[in-house]
Amino acid sequence: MRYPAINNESYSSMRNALRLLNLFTIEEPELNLSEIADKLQIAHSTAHRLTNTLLHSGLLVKEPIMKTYRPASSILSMGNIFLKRYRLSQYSIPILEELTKKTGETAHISILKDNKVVYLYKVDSLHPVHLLSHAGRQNPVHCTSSGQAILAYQPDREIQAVIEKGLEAYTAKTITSPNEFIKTLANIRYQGYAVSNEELHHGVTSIAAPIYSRGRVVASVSIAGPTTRISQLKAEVLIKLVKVAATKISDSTNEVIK
Amino acid sequence: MEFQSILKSVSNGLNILHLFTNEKPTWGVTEMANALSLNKSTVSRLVKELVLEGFLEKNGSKYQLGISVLCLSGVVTSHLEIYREAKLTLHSLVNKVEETAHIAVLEDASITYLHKVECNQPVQLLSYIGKNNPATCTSSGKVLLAYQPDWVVTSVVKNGLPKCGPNSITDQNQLMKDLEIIRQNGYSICINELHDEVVSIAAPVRDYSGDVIAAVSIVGPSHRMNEPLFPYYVKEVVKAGKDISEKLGYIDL
Repeated sequence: MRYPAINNESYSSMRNALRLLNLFTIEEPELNLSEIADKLQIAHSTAHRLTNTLLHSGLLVKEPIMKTYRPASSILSMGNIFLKRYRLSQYSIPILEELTKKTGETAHISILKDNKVVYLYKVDSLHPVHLLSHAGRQNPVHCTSSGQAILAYQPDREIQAVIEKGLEAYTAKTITSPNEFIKTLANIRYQGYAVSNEELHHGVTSIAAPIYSRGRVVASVSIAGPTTRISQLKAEVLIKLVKVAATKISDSTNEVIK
Repeated sequence: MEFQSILKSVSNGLNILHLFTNEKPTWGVTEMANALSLNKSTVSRLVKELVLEGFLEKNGSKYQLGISVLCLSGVVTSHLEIYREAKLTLHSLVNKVEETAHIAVLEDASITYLHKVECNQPVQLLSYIGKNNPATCTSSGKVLLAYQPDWVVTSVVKNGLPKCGPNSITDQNQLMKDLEIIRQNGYSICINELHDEVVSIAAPVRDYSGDVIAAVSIVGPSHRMNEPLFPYYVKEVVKAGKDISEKLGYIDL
Protein backbone atom coordinates (compact mmCIF):
# COMPACT_ATOMS: atom_id res chain seq x y z
CA MET A 1 0.00 0.00 0.00
CA ARG A 2 1.50 3.33 -0.99
CA TYR A 3 -0.74 5.54 1.11
CA PRO A 4 -1.83 4.87 4.66
CA ALA A 5 -5.55 4.12 4.88
CA ILE A 6 -7.14 7.16 6.42
CA ASN A 7 -10.72 7.73 7.38
CA ASN A 8 -11.83 10.25 4.82
CA GLU A 9 -13.76 12.73 6.91
CA SER A 10 -15.05 14.74 3.98
CA TYR A 11 -17.45 11.97 2.87
CA SER A 12 -20.48 10.65 4.72
CA SER A 13 -20.93 6.88 5.04
CA MET A 14 -23.72 7.05 2.49
CA ARG A 15 -21.48 8.83 0.01
CA ASN A 16 -18.71 6.31 0.62
CA ALA A 17 -21.09 3.39 0.08
CA LEU A 18 -22.00 4.86 -3.32
CA ARG A 19 -18.37 5.62 -4.14
CA LEU A 20 -17.69 1.99 -3.29
CA LEU A 21 -20.31 0.79 -5.77
CA ASN A 22 -18.84 3.07 -8.42
CA LEU A 23 -15.44 1.35 -8.05
CA PHE A 24 -16.67 -1.70 -9.94
CA THR A 25 -16.02 -1.57 -13.66
CA ILE A 26 -16.10 -4.03 -16.51
CA GLU A 27 -12.31 -4.23 -16.27
CA GLU A 28 -12.44 -4.73 -12.51
CA PRO A 29 -15.71 -6.53 -11.74
CA GLU A 30 -14.48 -8.04 -8.47
CA LEU A 31 -12.66 -6.39 -5.57
CA ASN A 32 -11.51 -7.60 -2.17
CA LEU A 33 -11.70 -5.65 1.07
CA SER A 34 -8.16 -4.28 1.01
CA GLU A 35 -8.52 -3.11 -2.58
CA ILE A 36 -11.73 -1.31 -1.63
CA ALA A 37 -10.19 0.31 1.47
CA ASP A 38 -7.18 1.32 -0.58
CA LYS A 39 -9.09 2.86 -3.48
CA LEU A 40 -11.48 4.80 -1.26
CA GLN A 41 -8.73 5.71 1.22
CA ILE A 42 -10.79 4.52 4.15
CA ALA A 43 -9.96 2.28 7.09
CA HIS A 44 -10.31 -1.46 6.65
CA SER A 45 -12.98 -1.60 9.36
CA THR A 46 -14.99 1.14 7.61
CA ALA A 47 -14.78 -0.75 4.32
CA HIS A 48 -15.98 -3.84 6.14
CA ARG A 49 -19.04 -2.06 7.55
CA LEU A 50 -19.85 -0.56 4.15
CA THR A 51 -19.60 -3.88 2.28
CA ASN A 52 -21.73 -5.56 4.95
CA THR A 53 -24.40 -2.93 4.52
CA LEU A 54 -24.28 -3.27 0.73
CA LEU A 55 -24.52 -7.07 1.02
CA HIS A 56 -27.49 -6.67 3.33
CA SER A 57 -29.19 -4.34 0.83
CA GLY A 58 -28.73 -6.87 -1.97
CA LEU A 59 -26.50 -4.63 -4.09
CA LEU A 60 -23.29 -6.63 -3.66
CA VAL A 61 -22.61 -10.34 -3.44
CA LYS A 62 -19.60 -11.95 -1.83
CA GLU A 63 -17.76 -14.78 -3.48
CA PRO A 64 -17.29 -17.26 -0.62
CA ILE A 65 -13.93 -18.77 -1.59
CA MET A 66 -11.92 -15.84 -2.88
CA LYS A 67 -13.72 -13.43 -0.52
CA THR A 68 -14.19 -10.88 -3.29
CA TYR A 69 -17.19 -8.64 -3.79
CA ARG A 70 -19.08 -7.94 -6.99
CA PRO A 71 -22.32 -6.14 -7.93
CA ALA A 72 -25.38 -8.37 -7.48
CA SER A 73 -27.37 -9.32 -10.53
CA SER A 74 -30.50 -7.79 -8.99
CA ILE A 75 -28.92 -4.53 -10.23
CA LEU A 76 -29.84 -5.67 -13.75
CA SER A 77 -33.43 -4.66 -13.10
CA MET A 78 -32.33 -1.14 -12.14
CA GLY A 79 -30.27 -0.91 -15.33
CA ASN A 80 -33.34 -1.89 -17.31
CA ILE A 81 -35.53 0.68 -15.56
CA PHE A 82 -32.91 3.32 -16.35
CA LEU A 83 -32.85 2.40 -20.05
CA LYS A 84 -36.62 2.25 -20.34
CA ARG A 85 -37.05 5.83 -19.34
CA TYR A 86 -34.79 6.88 -22.19
CA ARG A 87 -37.45 7.39 -24.75
CA LEU A 88 -34.71 7.25 -27.34
CA SER A 89 -34.88 3.48 -27.18
CA GLN A 90 -37.94 2.43 -29.13
CA TYR A 91 -37.06 4.71 -32.03
CA SER A 92 -33.31 4.49 -32.04
CA ILE A 93 -32.75 0.75 -31.82
CA PRO A 94 -34.18 0.05 -35.29
CA ILE A 95 -32.00 2.87 -36.64
CA LEU A 96 -28.97 1.38 -34.89
CA GLU A 97 -29.79 -2.03 -36.35
CA GLU A 98 -30.02 -0.54 -39.81
CA LEU A 99 -26.65 1.18 -39.31
CA THR A 100 -25.01 -2.10 -38.32
CA LYS A 101 -26.58 -3.84 -41.28
CA LYS A 102 -25.31 -1.21 -43.73
CA THR A 103 -21.83 -0.76 -42.24
CA GLY A 104 -21.30 -4.26 -40.95
CA GLU A 105 -19.82 -2.79 -37.75
CA THR A 106 -20.91 -2.68 -34.12
CA ALA A 107 -23.03 0.40 -33.45
CA HIS A 108 -23.58 2.24 -30.15
CA ILE A 109 -25.56 5.09 -28.66
CA SER A 110 -23.69 6.78 -25.84
CA ILE A 111 -24.11 9.55 -23.30
CA LEU A 112 -21.64 11.40 -21.04
CA LYS A 113 -21.03 10.75 -17.37
CA ASP A 114 -18.43 13.24 -16.12
CA ASN A 115 -15.25 12.47 -18.05
CA LYS A 116 -16.53 9.09 -19.21
CA VAL A 117 -18.70 8.09 -22.11
CA VAL A 118 -21.24 5.35 -21.38
CA TYR A 119 -22.89 3.05 -23.92
CA LEU A 120 -26.66 3.02 -23.64
CA TYR A 121 -27.41 0.65 -26.47
CA LYS A 122 -25.35 -1.58 -28.66
CA VAL A 123 -26.03 -3.61 -31.78
CA ASP A 124 -23.36 -6.19 -32.57
CA SER A 125 -21.54 -6.32 -35.86
CA LEU A 126 -22.18 -9.16 -38.24
CA HIS A 127 -18.46 -9.85 -38.54
CA PRO A 128 -17.00 -12.72 -36.59
CA VAL A 129 -14.42 -10.43 -34.96
CA HIS A 130 -16.37 -8.80 -32.17
CA LEU A 131 -15.21 -5.96 -30.03
CA LEU A 132 -16.15 -6.45 -26.42
CA SER A 133 -18.63 -3.82 -25.42
CA HIS A 134 -21.76 -3.77 -23.31
CA ALA A 135 -24.55 -1.44 -22.40
CA GLY A 136 -23.23 0.37 -19.34
CA ARG A 137 -19.60 0.11 -20.41
CA GLN A 138 -17.59 3.24 -19.64
CA ASN A 139 -14.72 4.59 -21.69
CA PRO A 140 -12.70 7.79 -21.32
CA VAL A 141 -14.35 10.67 -23.13
CA HIS A 142 -11.22 12.23 -24.59
CA CYS A 143 -10.02 9.33 -26.73
CA THR A 144 -13.28 7.92 -28.10
CA SER A 145 -15.18 9.30 -31.06
CA SER A 146 -18.45 8.74 -29.18
CA GLY A 147 -17.20 10.89 -26.29
CA GLN A 148 -15.61 13.59 -28.43
CA ALA A 149 -18.75 13.92 -30.57
CA ILE A 150 -20.79 14.84 -27.48
CA LEU A 151 -18.16 16.84 -25.60
CA ALA A 152 -17.44 19.07 -28.61
CA TYR A 153 -20.89 20.60 -28.23
CA GLN A 154 -20.84 21.12 -24.45
CA PRO A 155 -20.12 24.44 -22.71
CA ASP A 156 -16.44 25.40 -22.34
CA ARG A 157 -16.41 24.73 -18.61
CA GLU A 158 -17.30 21.06 -19.23
CA ILE A 159 -14.54 20.74 -21.80
CA GLN A 160 -12.13 22.39 -19.35
CA ALA A 161 -13.24 19.98 -16.60
CA VAL A 162 -12.32 17.01 -18.80
CA ILE A 163 -8.94 18.58 -19.63
CA GLU A 164 -8.29 19.29 -15.95
CA LYS A 165 -8.88 15.65 -15.05
CA GLY A 166 -6.00 14.87 -17.40
CA LEU A 167 -5.82 13.60 -20.97
CA GLU A 168 -4.34 10.23 -20.20
CA ALA A 169 -2.49 8.43 -23.01
CA TYR A 170 -4.00 5.06 -23.91
CA THR A 171 -2.05 4.57 -27.14
CA ALA A 172 0.62 6.52 -28.97
CA LYS A 173 -2.22 8.18 -30.90
CA THR A 174 -4.21 9.48 -27.91
CA ILE A 175 -4.43 13.28 -27.93
CA THR A 176 -2.77 14.41 -24.69
CA SER A 177 -2.13 18.10 -25.40
CA PRO A 178 -4.96 20.40 -24.24
CA ASN A 179 -4.45 22.74 -27.20
CA GLU A 180 -4.58 19.96 -29.73
CA PHE A 181 -7.62 18.52 -27.95
CA ILE A 182 -9.48 21.86 -28.16
CA LYS A 183 -8.60 22.08 -31.86
CA THR A 184 -9.88 18.55 -32.45
CA LEU A 185 -13.20 19.42 -30.80
CA ALA A 186 -13.50 22.58 -32.91
CA ASN A 187 -12.88 20.50 -35.99
CA ILE A 188 -15.61 18.05 -34.91
CA ARG A 189 -18.09 20.94 -34.61
CA TYR A 190 -17.07 22.12 -38.07
CA GLN A 191 -17.37 18.68 -39.70
CA GLY A 192 -20.29 17.36 -37.66
CA TYR A 193 -18.58 14.06 -36.86
CA ALA A 194 -15.65 12.58 -34.94
CA VAL A 195 -13.18 9.90 -35.93
CA SER A 196 -11.00 8.16 -33.37
CA ASN A 197 -8.21 6.35 -35.11
CA GLU A 198 -6.61 4.01 -32.57
CA GLU A 199 -6.81 6.67 -29.83
CA LEU A 200 -8.15 4.20 -27.24
CA HIS A 201 -7.13 0.77 -28.52
CA HIS A 202 -4.54 -0.26 -31.07
CA GLY A 203 -6.18 -1.50 -34.22
CA VAL A 204 -9.62 -0.03 -33.49
CA THR A 205 -11.19 2.88 -35.32
CA SER A 206 -14.51 4.47 -34.47
CA ILE A 207 -16.71 7.10 -36.09
CA ALA A 208 -19.37 9.11 -34.22
CA ALA A 209 -21.91 11.84 -34.86
CA PRO A 210 -23.93 13.94 -32.38
CA ILE A 211 -27.58 13.32 -31.49
CA TYR A 212 -29.61 16.46 -30.80
CA SER A 213 -32.60 16.79 -28.56
CA ARG A 214 -34.35 20.15 -28.21
CA GLY A 215 -31.40 21.88 -29.85
CA ARG A 216 -28.80 20.41 -27.52
CA VAL A 217 -26.36 17.54 -28.13
CA VAL A 218 -27.31 14.89 -25.57
CA ALA A 219 -25.85 11.69 -27.00
CA SER A 220 -23.91 10.27 -29.92
CA VAL A 221 -24.24 7.40 -32.33
CA SER A 222 -21.07 5.60 -33.31
CA ILE A 223 -19.65 2.57 -35.05
CA ALA A 224 -16.42 0.84 -34.14
CA GLY A 225 -14.39 -1.85 -35.81
CA PRO A 226 -10.90 -3.02 -36.66
CA THR A 227 -8.86 -0.28 -38.37
CA THR A 228 -8.02 -2.72 -41.15
CA ARG A 229 -11.69 -2.91 -42.05
CA ILE A 230 -12.39 0.83 -41.74
CA SER A 231 -9.91 1.91 -44.41
CA GLN A 232 -9.51 5.52 -45.54
CA LEU A 233 -11.47 4.87 -48.66
CA LYS A 234 -14.35 3.18 -46.89
CA ALA A 235 -14.34 5.73 -44.07
CA GLU A 236 -16.06 8.37 -46.21
CA VAL A 237 -19.01 6.10 -46.87
CA LEU A 238 -19.18 5.06 -43.22
CA ILE A 239 -19.08 8.68 -41.99
CA LYS A 240 -22.05 9.47 -44.22
CA LEU A 241 -24.02 6.50 -42.86
CA VAL A 242 -23.25 7.44 -39.24
CA LYS A 243 -24.33 11.05 -39.84
CA VAL A 244 -27.57 9.92 -41.46
CA ALA A 245 -28.32 7.65 -38.50
CA ALA A 246 -27.61 10.51 -36.06
CA THR A 247 -29.95 12.84 -37.93
CA LYS A 248 -32.69 10.21 -38.00
CA ILE A 249 -32.37 9.59 -34.26
CA SER A 250 -32.32 13.33 -33.54
CA ASP A 251 -35.49 13.79 -35.60
CA SER A 252 -37.24 10.91 -33.86
CA THR A 253 -36.34 12.13 -30.35
CA ASN A 254 -37.56 15.61 -31.19
CA GLU A 255 -40.80 14.09 -32.34
CA VAL A 256 -41.12 12.12 -29.11
CA ILE A 257 -40.46 15.16 -26.97
CA LYS A 258 -42.86 17.35 -28.92
CA MET B 1 -24.54 -11.80 8.16
CA GLU B 2 -23.29 -9.57 10.97
CA PHE B 3 -26.26 -7.33 11.57
CA GLN B 4 -24.51 -5.30 14.24
CA SER B 5 -22.14 -3.90 11.63
CA ILE B 6 -24.82 -2.60 9.27
CA LEU B 7 -24.94 1.15 8.90
CA LYS B 8 -28.53 2.20 9.36
CA SER B 9 -28.34 5.51 7.47
CA VAL B 10 -26.62 3.86 4.51
CA SER B 11 -29.14 1.08 4.54
CA ASN B 12 -31.95 3.68 4.44
CA GLY B 13 -30.26 5.44 1.56
CA LEU B 14 -29.91 2.22 -0.42
CA ASN B 15 -33.54 1.38 0.22
CA ILE B 16 -34.39 4.51 -1.73
CA LEU B 17 -32.89 2.85 -4.81
CA HIS B 18 -35.07 -0.21 -4.35
CA LEU B 19 -38.21 1.95 -4.54
CA PHE B 20 -37.74 2.55 -8.25
CA THR B 21 -39.59 -0.01 -10.38
CA ASN B 22 -40.88 -0.42 -13.90
CA GLU B 23 -44.33 0.43 -12.60
CA LYS B 24 -43.16 3.52 -10.73
CA PRO B 25 -39.91 4.87 -12.16
CA THR B 26 -40.11 8.41 -10.70
CA TRP B 27 -40.40 9.41 -7.04
CA GLY B 28 -40.69 12.68 -5.16
CA VAL B 29 -38.94 13.25 -1.82
CA THR B 30 -42.20 13.27 0.16
CA GLU B 31 -43.32 10.01 -1.45
CA MET B 32 -39.97 8.38 -0.64
CA ALA B 33 -40.13 9.61 2.95
CA ASN B 34 -43.63 8.18 3.34
CA ALA B 35 -42.80 4.86 1.70
CA LEU B 36 -39.73 4.34 3.91
CA SER B 37 -41.14 5.97 7.07
CA LEU B 38 -38.26 8.43 7.22
CA ASN B 39 -38.02 12.18 7.82
CA LYS B 40 -38.25 14.34 4.75
CA SER B 41 -35.02 16.09 5.71
CA THR B 42 -33.22 12.74 6.05
CA VAL B 43 -34.46 11.63 2.64
CA SER B 44 -33.43 14.95 1.08
CA ARG B 45 -29.91 14.52 2.38
CA LEU B 46 -29.68 10.90 1.15
CA VAL B 47 -31.12 11.83 -2.24
CA LYS B 48 -28.54 14.59 -2.61
CA GLU B 49 -25.75 12.06 -2.14
CA LEU B 50 -27.38 9.60 -4.55
CA VAL B 51 -27.51 12.40 -7.14
CA LEU B 52 -23.86 13.36 -6.55
CA GLU B 53 -22.72 9.80 -7.29
CA GLY B 54 -24.98 9.40 -10.33
CA PHE B 55 -27.44 6.90 -8.84
CA LEU B 56 -30.39 9.29 -9.11
CA GLU B 57 -31.14 12.12 -11.49
CA LYS B 58 -33.55 14.96 -11.06
CA ASN B 59 -36.47 15.09 -13.47
CA GLY B 60 -38.58 18.18 -12.84
CA SER B 61 -39.45 18.10 -9.16
CA LYS B 62 -39.02 14.31 -8.94
CA TYR B 63 -36.18 11.82 -9.22
CA GLN B 64 -35.37 8.84 -11.41
CA LEU B 65 -32.55 6.30 -11.52
CA GLY B 66 -29.24 7.66 -12.82
CA ILE B 67 -26.50 6.50 -15.15
CA SER B 68 -24.47 4.78 -12.38
CA VAL B 69 -27.04 1.98 -12.15
CA LEU B 70 -26.57 1.30 -15.87
CA CYS B 71 -22.80 1.17 -15.44
CA LEU B 72 -23.16 -1.30 -12.60
CA SER B 73 -25.58 -3.44 -14.54
CA GLY B 74 -23.04 -3.43 -17.39
CA VAL B 75 -20.48 -4.84 -14.96
CA VAL B 76 -22.92 -7.61 -14.07
CA THR B 77 -23.80 -8.53 -17.64
CA SER B 78 -20.23 -8.63 -18.84
CA HIS B 79 -19.02 -10.44 -15.77
CA LEU B 80 -21.52 -13.17 -16.29
CA GLU B 81 -20.08 -14.83 -19.32
CA ILE B 82 -23.12 -16.99 -19.43
CA TYR B 83 -25.18 -14.01 -20.43
CA ARG B 84 -23.27 -13.85 -23.70
CA GLU B 85 -23.06 -17.55 -24.30
CA ALA B 86 -26.68 -18.26 -23.56
CA LYS B 87 -28.27 -15.76 -25.92
CA LEU B 88 -28.29 -17.77 -29.15
CA THR B 89 -29.31 -21.01 -27.51
CA LEU B 90 -32.16 -19.29 -25.73
CA HIS B 91 -33.44 -17.86 -28.99
CA SER B 92 -33.40 -21.21 -30.74
CA LEU B 93 -35.11 -22.83 -27.76
CA VAL B 94 -37.91 -20.26 -27.96
CA ASN B 95 -38.26 -20.81 -31.69
CA LYS B 96 -38.71 -24.54 -31.14
CA VAL B 97 -41.03 -24.68 -28.15
CA GLU B 98 -42.76 -21.34 -28.77
CA GLU B 99 -42.79 -20.41 -25.11
CA THR B 100 -40.82 -17.83 -23.13
CA ALA B 101 -37.34 -18.89 -22.00
CA HIS B 102 -35.11 -17.62 -19.17
CA ILE B 103 -31.64 -18.01 -17.78
CA ALA B 104 -31.56 -17.64 -14.03
CA VAL B 105 -28.94 -17.67 -11.29
CA LEU B 106 -29.24 -18.18 -7.55
CA GLU B 107 -28.57 -15.32 -5.18
CA ASP B 108 -29.25 -16.12 -1.56
CA ALA B 109 -32.76 -17.57 -1.36
CA SER B 110 -33.95 -16.09 -4.64
CA ILE B 111 -33.36 -16.61 -8.29
CA THR B 112 -32.65 -13.70 -10.59
CA TYR B 113 -33.47 -13.79 -14.28
CA LEU B 114 -30.40 -12.78 -16.25
CA HIS B 115 -31.89 -13.12 -19.63
CA LYS B 116 -35.31 -13.57 -21.09
CA VAL B 117 -36.47 -14.33 -24.62
CA GLU B 118 -40.17 -13.95 -25.21
CA CYS B 119 -42.27 -16.06 -27.51
CA ASN B 120 -44.73 -14.67 -30.02
CA GLN B 121 -47.70 -16.38 -28.44
CA PRO B 122 -50.19 -14.43 -26.34
CA VAL B 123 -50.26 -14.54 -22.52
CA GLN B 124 -47.30 -12.63 -21.24
CA LEU B 125 -46.08 -13.85 -17.92
CA LEU B 126 -44.87 -11.67 -15.13
CA SER B 127 -41.12 -11.79 -15.43
CA TYR B 128 -38.42 -9.43 -16.54
CA ILE B 129 -34.65 -9.35 -16.54
CA GLY B 130 -33.41 -8.79 -13.02
CA LYS B 131 -36.63 -9.94 -11.37
CA ASN B 132 -36.28 -12.00 -8.21
CA ASN B 133 -38.47 -14.97 -7.36
CA PRO B 134 -38.25 -17.31 -4.39
CA ALA B 135 -36.00 -20.21 -5.37
CA THR B 136 -38.25 -22.86 -3.89
CA CYS B 137 -41.32 -21.92 -5.98
CA THR B 138 -39.71 -22.04 -9.42
CA SER B 139 -38.36 -24.81 -11.61
CA SER B 140 -35.12 -22.83 -12.18
CA GLY B 141 -34.68 -22.27 -8.48
CA LYS B 142 -35.24 -25.91 -7.64
CA VAL B 143 -32.79 -27.07 -10.31
CA LEU B 144 -30.20 -24.66 -8.93
CA LEU B 145 -30.83 -25.81 -5.35
CA ALA B 146 -30.74 -29.48 -6.28
CA TYR B 147 -27.08 -29.17 -7.24
CA GLN B 148 -25.89 -26.92 -4.41
CA PRO B 149 -24.00 -28.17 -1.37
CA ASP B 150 -26.21 -29.02 1.61
CA TRP B 151 -25.33 -25.87 3.54
CA VAL B 152 -26.72 -23.68 0.75
CA VAL B 153 -30.03 -25.55 0.75
CA THR B 154 -30.17 -25.43 4.54
CA SER B 155 -29.62 -21.67 4.59
CA VAL B 156 -32.39 -21.18 2.03
CA VAL B 157 -34.96 -23.27 3.86
CA LYS B 158 -34.14 -22.00 7.34
CA ASN B 159 -36.16 -18.84 6.71
CA GLY B 160 -39.22 -20.85 5.81
CA LEU B 161 -40.69 -21.82 2.43
CA PRO B 162 -42.96 -19.13 0.97
CA LYS B 163 -46.31 -20.00 -0.58
CA CYS B 164 -46.60 -18.26 -3.95
CA GLY B 165 -48.95 -20.45 -5.97
CA PRO B 166 -51.50 -23.16 -5.06
CA ASN B 167 -48.88 -25.93 -5.36
CA SER B 168 -45.90 -24.26 -3.68
CA ILE B 169 -43.94 -26.71 -1.58
CA THR B 170 -43.97 -25.44 1.97
CA ASP B 171 -42.78 -28.59 3.71
CA GLN B 172 -39.01 -28.96 4.08
CA ASN B 173 -38.98 -32.75 3.81
CA GLN B 174 -41.10 -32.61 0.69
CA LEU B 175 -38.66 -30.11 -0.82
CA MET B 176 -35.67 -32.36 -0.03
CA LYS B 177 -37.44 -35.29 -1.73
CA ASP B 178 -38.20 -33.09 -4.70
CA LEU B 179 -34.58 -31.99 -5.03
CA GLU B 180 -33.47 -35.63 -4.94
CA ILE B 181 -35.84 -36.48 -7.78
CA ILE B 182 -34.56 -33.48 -9.77
CA ARG B 183 -30.96 -34.72 -9.36
CA GLN B 184 -31.99 -38.16 -10.62
CA ASN B 185 -33.95 -36.80 -13.59
CA GLY B 186 -31.70 -33.88 -14.50
CA TYR B 187 -34.62 -31.47 -14.86
CA SER B 188 -37.44 -29.90 -12.89
CA ILE B 189 -41.11 -29.32 -13.69
CA CYS B 190 -43.20 -26.85 -11.69
CA ILE B 191 -46.97 -26.79 -12.09
CA ASN B 192 -48.82 -23.92 -10.40
CA GLU B 193 -46.07 -23.44 -7.84
CA LEU B 194 -45.27 -19.79 -8.47
CA HIS B 195 -48.57 -18.69 -10.03
CA ASP B 196 -51.79 -20.45 -10.74
CA GLU B 197 -52.12 -21.85 -14.29
CA VAL B 198 -48.40 -21.54 -14.95
CA VAL B 199 -46.02 -24.34 -15.89
CA SER B 200 -42.25 -24.07 -15.99
CA ILE B 201 -39.58 -26.60 -16.88
CA ALA B 202 -35.89 -26.08 -16.09
CA ALA B 203 -32.54 -27.79 -16.62
CA PRO B 204 -29.09 -27.13 -15.16
CA VAL B 205 -26.27 -25.17 -16.82
CA ARG B 206 -22.75 -26.20 -15.80
CA ASP B 207 -19.47 -24.37 -16.17
CA TYR B 208 -16.11 -25.90 -17.10
CA SER B 209 -15.67 -27.24 -13.56
CA GLY B 210 -18.95 -29.12 -13.67
CA ASP B 211 -20.62 -26.85 -11.11
CA VAL B 212 -24.24 -25.93 -11.78
CA ILE B 213 -24.08 -22.15 -12.07
CA ALA B 214 -27.37 -21.31 -13.76
CA ALA B 215 -30.64 -22.78 -14.94
CA VAL B 216 -32.35 -22.54 -18.31
CA SER B 217 -36.12 -22.70 -18.23
CA ILE B 218 -39.25 -22.31 -20.29
CA VAL B 219 -42.48 -21.04 -18.88
CA GLY B 220 -46.02 -20.81 -20.20
CA PRO B 221 -49.70 -21.11 -19.36
CA SER B 222 -50.85 -24.59 -18.36
CA HIS B 223 -53.60 -24.65 -21.00
CA ARG B 224 -50.91 -24.56 -23.68
CA MET B 225 -48.14 -26.42 -21.90
CA ASN B 226 -50.06 -29.58 -21.09
CA GLU B 227 -48.81 -32.90 -19.87
CA PRO B 228 -48.66 -34.93 -23.10
CA LEU B 229 -46.15 -32.34 -24.38
CA PHE B 230 -43.89 -32.50 -21.31
CA PRO B 231 -41.45 -35.10 -22.71
CA TYR B 232 -40.85 -32.91 -25.75
CA TYR B 233 -40.33 -29.77 -23.65
CA VAL B 234 -38.00 -31.59 -21.28
CA LYS B 235 -35.92 -32.88 -24.16
CA GLU B 236 -35.49 -29.40 -25.62
CA VAL B 237 -34.78 -27.64 -22.32
CA VAL B 238 -32.23 -30.26 -21.25
CA LYS B 239 -30.59 -29.98 -24.67
CA ALA B 240 -30.40 -26.19 -24.33
CA GLY B 241 -28.83 -26.58 -20.88
CA LYS B 242 -26.19 -28.94 -22.28
CA ASP B 243 -25.58 -26.64 -25.21
CA ILE B 244 -24.88 -23.61 -22.99
CA SER B 245 -22.78 -25.75 -20.64
CA GLU B 246 -20.58 -26.84 -23.54
CA LYS B 247 -20.10 -23.23 -24.58
CA LEU B 248 -18.91 -22.52 -21.05
CA GLY B 249 -16.32 -25.26 -21.37
CA TYR B 250 -18.16 -28.14 -19.71
CA ILE B 251 -17.34 -31.57 -21.06
CA ASP B 252 -19.96 -34.23 -20.47
CA LEU B 253 -18.14 -37.48 -19.78
